[in-house]
Amino acid sequence: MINLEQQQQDDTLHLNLQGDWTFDQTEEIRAALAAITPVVKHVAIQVEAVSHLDVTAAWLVYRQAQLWKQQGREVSFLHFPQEYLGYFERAANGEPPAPGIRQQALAGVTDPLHLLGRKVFHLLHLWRSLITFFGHSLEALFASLLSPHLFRVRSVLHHVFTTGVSAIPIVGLIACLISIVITYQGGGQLRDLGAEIYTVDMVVISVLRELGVLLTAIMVAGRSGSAFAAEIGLMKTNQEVDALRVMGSDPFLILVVPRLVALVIALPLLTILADIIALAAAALISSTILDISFVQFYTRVETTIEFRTFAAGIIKAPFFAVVIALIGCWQGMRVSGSSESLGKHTTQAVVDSIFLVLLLDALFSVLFYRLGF
Amino acid sequence: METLISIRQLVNQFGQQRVHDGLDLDIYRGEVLGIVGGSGSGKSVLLRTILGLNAPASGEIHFSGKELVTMPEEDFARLKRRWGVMFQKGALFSSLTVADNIQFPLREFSTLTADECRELMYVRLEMVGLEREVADKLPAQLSGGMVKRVALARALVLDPVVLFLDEPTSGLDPVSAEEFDRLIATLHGNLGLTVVMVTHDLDSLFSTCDRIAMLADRKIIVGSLRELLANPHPAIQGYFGGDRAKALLRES
Repeated sequence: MINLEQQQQDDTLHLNLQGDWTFDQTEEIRAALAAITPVVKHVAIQVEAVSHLDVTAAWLVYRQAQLWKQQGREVSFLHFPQEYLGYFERAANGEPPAPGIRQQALAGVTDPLHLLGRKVFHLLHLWRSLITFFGHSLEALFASLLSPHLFRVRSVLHHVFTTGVSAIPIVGLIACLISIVITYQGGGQLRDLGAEIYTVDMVVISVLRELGVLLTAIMVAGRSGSAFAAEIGLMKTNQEVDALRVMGSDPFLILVVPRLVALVIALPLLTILADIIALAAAALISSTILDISFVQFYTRVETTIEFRTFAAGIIKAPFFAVVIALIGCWQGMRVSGSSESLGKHTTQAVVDSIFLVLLLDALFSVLFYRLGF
Repeated sequence: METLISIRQLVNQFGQQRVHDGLDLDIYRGEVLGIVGGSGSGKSVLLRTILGLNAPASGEIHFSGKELVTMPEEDFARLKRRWGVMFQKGALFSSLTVADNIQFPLREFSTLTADECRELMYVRLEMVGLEREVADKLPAQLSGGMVKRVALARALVLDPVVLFLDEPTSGLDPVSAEEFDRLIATLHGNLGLTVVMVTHDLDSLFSTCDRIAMLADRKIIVGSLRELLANPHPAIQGYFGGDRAKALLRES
């Protein structure tokens, strides 16, 4: 508990602090100090009888004293810990700090032109960095193709396993589900027109040309793109990448090329698997709700669907794989220092690679249309 | 001397591995206690157990007469607000500026106004000897020594009764480490804190600690530096018998 004794002598108000002046008593201290309105010129603060005086409490007293000083009174401290006074005075008299990050961020909002300029330069820098990264990776890839002893087969196999084989269950499940959705939705509509057999065309074409490869690529971007960024980013924060460089190894050759090659192998295979599972699921659903038997389904696919429908889908897979692997590795390499940066770049890897996969898919659609493919 | 923390028959076990076996330790009010021991001897586990981050297999921990192990979570949390803890790597919140890091406990657990919090933050920066410019930086922009100082400022901001330091000088260069030792000694002198520090640094052990608690054979041997040196226990002789320790002892 705190206790504040007031005593007026001539033109001096003696304040005698007693008890435990600690952090828990903030409220009481503030109330006790506010209750005092000195009418005389001098205030003497006496803390000799205090059993505990911690920094927060002492500072509250000091601040009140400063207020009285501003009102033209003279305040003297008796037995006040000298070290505390030193800290308080230096803290109160310091220069206001230079504008920091927060003010700088605010300045960006208040000056939109400046902000726009900075964003544009940042974007240009990003593209430059990505293209440089792409060039380095290609260089490393060709180097390893020219001298096969540089090519790390074990590493490639490891990444084929982690990005391909272990993704089989989730990719298969997604293919199955999307095929069920389309068959149900489309089949219901077409049956009303008496054209339920066209459900087969619709499902098979949409899955083979677009959905099979696209959904697989998005799934892999989420699973492996982020994993690449996180793995390489962690190595970057641990200075493992620097260690590789110092040993005279090329990080692109050791870290990027195996991931790139592995994904170029794994993604088309996963796509083929997704196509097969989606078609099987479509056949099953058609036979149960549309009365299209397996034989009918098979004959319909054989007679109306051409091989190039399948080819138009599968040919996109390696391109998607390159985009996902490059973006993942690039974002990983961009990680610097803090763990905050690691999280940021991992997220960015997924967002960027899914965006670029969709962009590339749109470009392919236009291209195939123009070519009549 | 008044006992602030007393640990009785503490047992910590992870799987088959028993880290502490019937450990007893008394920490007195106002002292600086250094906890030492070889790697893997359970120094950090002991600290984490006192802080309630690790539930012991059995044993009792008393803090000014109150039993901590069985204390309800809420009461323990309220009690712990009067403890200052500085983690080995600082554990500064990476998304907050230095100013916000130091003010965080004040904002959460006090009725002080925003202005008062900010001014008190500057007082703490003064206390740990940092420039005011540091206040607006992010932890990632600080050097190792500055991170330690900010972490100490945050640990001190609620005027703790006891200060726990986990390897306060690890990762600092000898000059910064010495400065940091002096800082802790000054704060200890000025504020009358009880300081418990886990350390590997023989310099800080010899210069700042009143008593030393040595973890050996899953128990603790505690005493002043002289008492420990006179103890024939092989673990102690091994720890202080190294060339570096001998050289330091000769100096002091």
